[in-house]
Amino acid sequence: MIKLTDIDKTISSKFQKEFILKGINLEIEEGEFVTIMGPSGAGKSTLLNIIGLLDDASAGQYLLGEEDLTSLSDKRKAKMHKEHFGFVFQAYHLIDELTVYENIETPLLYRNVKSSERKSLVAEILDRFGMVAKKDLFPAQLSGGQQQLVGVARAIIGKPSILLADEPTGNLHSAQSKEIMELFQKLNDEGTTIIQVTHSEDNAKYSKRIIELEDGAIVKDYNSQEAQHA
Amino acid sequence: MFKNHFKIALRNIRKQGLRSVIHVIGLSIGVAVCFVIYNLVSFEYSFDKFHKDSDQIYRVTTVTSNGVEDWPNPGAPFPIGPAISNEMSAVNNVAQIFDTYRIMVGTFADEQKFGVKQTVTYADQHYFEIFDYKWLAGNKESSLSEANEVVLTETSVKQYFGAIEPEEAIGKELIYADSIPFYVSGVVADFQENSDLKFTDFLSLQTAKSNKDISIRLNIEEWNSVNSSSQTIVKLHQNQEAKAEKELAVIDEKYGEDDEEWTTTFNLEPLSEWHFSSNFNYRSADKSVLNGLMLIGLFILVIACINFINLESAQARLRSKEVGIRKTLGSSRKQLIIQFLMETYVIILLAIIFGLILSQFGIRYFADILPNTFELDYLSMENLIFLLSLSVMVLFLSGLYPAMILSGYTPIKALNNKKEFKPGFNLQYLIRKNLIILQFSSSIAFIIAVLAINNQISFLMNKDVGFNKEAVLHISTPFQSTLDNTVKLKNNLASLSDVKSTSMSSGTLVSNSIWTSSVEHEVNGELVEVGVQTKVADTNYLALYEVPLLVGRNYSTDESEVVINESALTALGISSPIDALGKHLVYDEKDMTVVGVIKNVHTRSLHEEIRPLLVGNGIRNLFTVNIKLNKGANLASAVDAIQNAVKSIYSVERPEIKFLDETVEGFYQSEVRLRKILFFATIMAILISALGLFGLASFTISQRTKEISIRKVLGASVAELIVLISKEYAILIGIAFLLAAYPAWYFIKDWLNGFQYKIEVPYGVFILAGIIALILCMTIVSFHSLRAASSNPAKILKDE
Repeated sequence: MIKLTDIDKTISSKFQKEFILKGINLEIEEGEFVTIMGPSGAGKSTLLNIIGLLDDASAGQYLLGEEDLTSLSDKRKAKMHKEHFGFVFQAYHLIDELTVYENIETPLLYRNVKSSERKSLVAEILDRFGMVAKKDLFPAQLSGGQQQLVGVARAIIGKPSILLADEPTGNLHSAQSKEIMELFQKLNDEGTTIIQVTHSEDNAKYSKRIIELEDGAIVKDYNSQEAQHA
Repeated sequence: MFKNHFKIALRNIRKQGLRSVIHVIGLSIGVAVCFVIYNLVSFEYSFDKFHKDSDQIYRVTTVTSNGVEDWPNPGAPFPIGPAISNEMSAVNNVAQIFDTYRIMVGTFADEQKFGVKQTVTYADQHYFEIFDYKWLAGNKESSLSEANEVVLTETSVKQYFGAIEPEEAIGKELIYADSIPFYVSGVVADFQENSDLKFTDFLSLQTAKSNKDISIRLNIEEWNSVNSSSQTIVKLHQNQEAKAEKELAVIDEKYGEDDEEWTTTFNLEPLSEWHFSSNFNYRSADKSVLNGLMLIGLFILVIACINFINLESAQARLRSKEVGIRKTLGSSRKQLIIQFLMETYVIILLAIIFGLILSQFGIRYFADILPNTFELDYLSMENLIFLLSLSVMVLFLSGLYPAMILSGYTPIKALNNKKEFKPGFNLQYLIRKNLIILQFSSSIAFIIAVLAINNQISFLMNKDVGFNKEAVLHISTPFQSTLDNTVKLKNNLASLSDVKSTSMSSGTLVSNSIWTSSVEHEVNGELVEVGVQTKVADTNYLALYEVPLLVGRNYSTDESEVVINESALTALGISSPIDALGKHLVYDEKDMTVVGVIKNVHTRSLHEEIRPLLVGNGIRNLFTVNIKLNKGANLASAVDAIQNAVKSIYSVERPEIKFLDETVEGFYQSEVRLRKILFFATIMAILISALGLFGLASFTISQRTKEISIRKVLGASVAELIVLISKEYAILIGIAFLLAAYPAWYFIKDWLNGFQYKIEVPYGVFILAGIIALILCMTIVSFHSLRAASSNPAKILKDE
């Protein structure tokens, strides 16, 4: 489904070119749950951002199914974000001026979903995440775990085919982390492709495949469950 | 989506209170200024637009020229009417009117019952064919075709006959000018729209033609007599203007009585121009003033928009996270631009509401210089359309640039709140600085202009005019006053205890109106003509005004004696005053002898040079009584006593008593008006700029708290930090000053050229304006930098 071929990401300064990613070749099938791991500065987030079209690769080819996403206009990117991707961030990134309800509703607005349908979709997800009572609160009035739940709810309400999560539990304590990861697993069981970046071995265990990066290159790519058993 | 955007807009307005208040105040000032100016301009352009085929209506005007000076006149010789009617095929209709200016109206039993009216004109029946009036009684075909007929408007009917039906007024008798009977032949509705055709009583012109006394005044036969009251109005056939002008030139050629010295030219003036040249309302609008006002309005609006742009683009980073999130959620750049524009629009709508309230204050401030009939109709269709257009214009002017910046953030950088910092050139930063400079340049230029105009006005008011204008009052006797009455008034006034002396004259010594004629004198055996300003007065005149006599003596009651001024010496080619004594002059075909020479005194406004002046005794044209009060006289009681004396002689029409110094101040009304307008513009420009700087400095300095804290830890004192931060702004003001100086200098120089007597370009006010701007700027910046510099570095660095 996702096919990256010879992806490079460089930053050029006056005298030199610095590689953040170099020669990445990667295929991810529909319905996979992939974790990208590696030390700080290895290029994990950059890779995730390139997959999520938040950043452009400097070289190489990016295919999503049959579609070439290598260089898209802003308009096409916005369309892809609407149709395929959901994002969960370490810092939650909720819109501070909107309530829980409105934050979750926003992706539907960009998808031009009708008001009545929006209401029922948001109500359903609030119910599922147990946040009905908090729907009128603003992000600042919630705990970190609750904010991240809202972040996940918002990411999946548009039914994206791919959920991208960058350190989704980085700011959470262990009980909250567990809750989020179990949620991810459930979503994956329902068919959502999930790609997460994390430092946490515990979180990685929830995924089926682990890709390890070092200095911008893939050094390991293995099935985590098999590795555990081995 | 709309609801979502609207909600965010309101929450942001609430959350960022200072920013919102600054935006709303700034923009509302801009809106208020533009709204009032728009209404004033469209009011002035609205006059007489409503007549059918108004673009085909013209009047014949006359320019008399002696090759040096042109004397334009809205009137035309009376015989031109029939000539146009017979000889110009481009003309559809010709009407002639003769404005009576002031005329007594009464009834048979009481000829002065309704007093003097200023809205009465003679008119022929064609007048009503050219201008659309709604007829309530009688008809336009037959009315005014016979002598002694009068057509009244509803207002006049009500005034004369009370609340009666229009039909009942037909045939009723009125007496005009004390003796001439007129019978009502028609009643028309008053114009509801703005019109300079202020007439309420139309007397049939036929009456004037058949009455010898009046026809002499009208000069019905004379081709060389031009009077502004006697006007010829034509309605052309469609698209015949060029042809009409050619045909008029033929008439000019054929009948115009040109001689070696004087030429007369006839022109066609379209109805749309009457309001801006000379009209029957005695208040013509000035297009250059209107254009100037529009420019000022635009300036203020742009300055207000600049605030918006500056503050929003500076604060853009605060919103970058939201932009990043929205982009990852699928928002396109277009959708973001629409969202930010909508937020701006909500602020603009608030500004419009406040602006409309402010405009009420504006109207009050300018009440004395706005036209009397001007009023604001907030909900008229034109105003709603104007406000809508204005709001859209402001939206794009102020909202588009910040919206473009915001929506252009790349999501990943925006989310990580990374400043897109590039060393070296930074366009946004440069634009922001330039905009501040532009704002302060405008403010400084306005300050310079106001101060310079103020200096010139006080120079005008305080300049020694050469005679004593203190404690002098003057009365213009009524239009139809007899000489006997004037003499009686003068004598009665002279006997009052507060009055030092009185004098009758053709006008006050210094006056807005002028009477010029020519005198002949002999040079090498030949008579040479010299143009002079003439004043006729009794023998008290020069003493009353304390005009210094250089040589000779005052003129006596002998009408052949005259006194001249120094300028007249030059004009007559006499080198020394003493040589002028005994000089013979021919004036009005009579021999005159110069018996004295007075010093040059200003008899006109200081826009003009002192002209050659001739003063002598006479009994003609003595319309003015001059009164000099005793030193220390109680003004209130003196005026009371004078009023009583006037009342005992003129019971119906009471002439006004005026103070000479106020009359002189009146000469500079347009300068005072200009000062008032510019003063207002200056305050607005300063207010908006200061407000913008306040917001911007507050934000940019708060962004530098980390730097300030580190410097403090490294040992910088509060004073050093304030200097560090303020220096940058002081440089901006310096550049703004340099940019403002030349345009301001050019404007002042040009404006001062309109005066014969003027101050030098006051360079001191340039410095003063710069200092005012600098102090203002430094106060604002120091306020914020002091706060930043005094904050506890430990706390700030910990937070970072």
